[in-house]
Amino acid sequence: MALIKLKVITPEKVVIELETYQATLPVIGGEVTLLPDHMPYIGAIQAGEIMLRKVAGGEEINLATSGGFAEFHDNTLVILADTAERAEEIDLVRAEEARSRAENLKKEQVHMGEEEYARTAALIEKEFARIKVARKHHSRRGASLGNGS
Amino acid sequence: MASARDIRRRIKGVKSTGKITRAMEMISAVKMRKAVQSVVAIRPFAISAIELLKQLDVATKGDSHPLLTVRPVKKELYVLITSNRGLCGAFNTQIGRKLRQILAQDTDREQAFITLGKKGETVVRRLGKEIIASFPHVIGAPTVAGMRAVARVIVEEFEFERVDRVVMVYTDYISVMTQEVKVRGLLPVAIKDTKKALNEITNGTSQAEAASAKLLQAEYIIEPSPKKVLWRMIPRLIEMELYHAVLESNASQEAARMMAMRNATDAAKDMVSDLTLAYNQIRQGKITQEIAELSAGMAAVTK
Repeated sequence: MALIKLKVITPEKVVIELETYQATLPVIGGEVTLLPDHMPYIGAIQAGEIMLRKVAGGEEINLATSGGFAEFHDNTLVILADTAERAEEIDLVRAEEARSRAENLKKEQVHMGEEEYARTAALIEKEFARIKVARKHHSRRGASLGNGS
Repeated sequence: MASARDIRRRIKGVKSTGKITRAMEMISAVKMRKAVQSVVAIRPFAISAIELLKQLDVATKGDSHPLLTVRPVKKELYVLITSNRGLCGAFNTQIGRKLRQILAQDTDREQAFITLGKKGETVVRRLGKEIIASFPHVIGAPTVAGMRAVARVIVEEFEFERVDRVVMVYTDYISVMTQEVKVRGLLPVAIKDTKKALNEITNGTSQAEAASAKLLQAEYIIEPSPKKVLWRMIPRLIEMELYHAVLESNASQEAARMMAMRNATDAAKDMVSDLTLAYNQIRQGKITQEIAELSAGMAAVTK
């Protein structure tokens, strides 16, 4: 059976390269799930979680991304991401800290310009996505991280 | 004439300087390799970006974007990428010379600068030009995220029509021996030029061309819309171009420093051998003199 050849690329490195049955992407305005032999597709990705399954109903592989673009044709899916991290690479405690820092930033700067606000909001969104992905990963692996479920 | 002790002291000094320059040379070699590797690491991204851009270009024919609009140039913004530290041979001098050449030809427009690197900042300040922003820290350990702030300032200046054109001046790494100062337009974005720039990043890899030839035949669903995707993409491309230029510049800088330090180490070695020769001559002369005195004394006693 045909599988999707997937590559997740950031300017710094190729994060992941594998064959997958299913890929769910957090595109603007919702989620898109691509299965083999989908129509050619280009989409803008927002901060969130990329979910892969190597076989139908199989185990999930999760990645956190802060946004980017996806391009699919002939069962090849290329994701150009600003940042992308695999769940096991994310340090949950540090991610939590980063988020609370970002939220404090939002609270402190009451007179924040619109643009500044948007930037901070984007930061919080990114950290949320990371935490979500990391938590899922940890809880599945049964790793006891105290606050990890 | 210097005394034997003075010479010995100098030999010691020169030797330890030589050790330092040798260490610096090796550090630069490592840093250079790292920068070159990072340049190679962007390639897959650049190749895919070209494909996507071509596709979007076809799908968005006729749409205009503020960042794509060419305006008559009243004020030009230069993004100058140099180093933070010296001791890197002619690296910063070269880029300063090129800048003066450009400015000499470009007299009928106003000019402003954004500098990445302290050395470039000094040059611009000496020329008495306006500096909009200086980012000395983003080039130390360059990341795409670090370039975001720079790109943001650039895009803002352009969007609010405070400047009408943005060009980048940086040093392109060709090999350890050769680096070339390059000037490249950044804004307004000309899709054709951007593709060319990306192609250069990928070194015109045939892989890219083969892939995109195949791609043009496909009919795509594009969400949310071709225009919106393209608009989101343009700032990313600017970030990437900046990132690439900084990596090239860093590789060049470390290559230049490596060569400068190698020359310094060689010069130190030559100096040590000259000094050692001089020292030995004095030492020998002294021994000869002492023997002569001794035998003269002996002769006086035995008579």
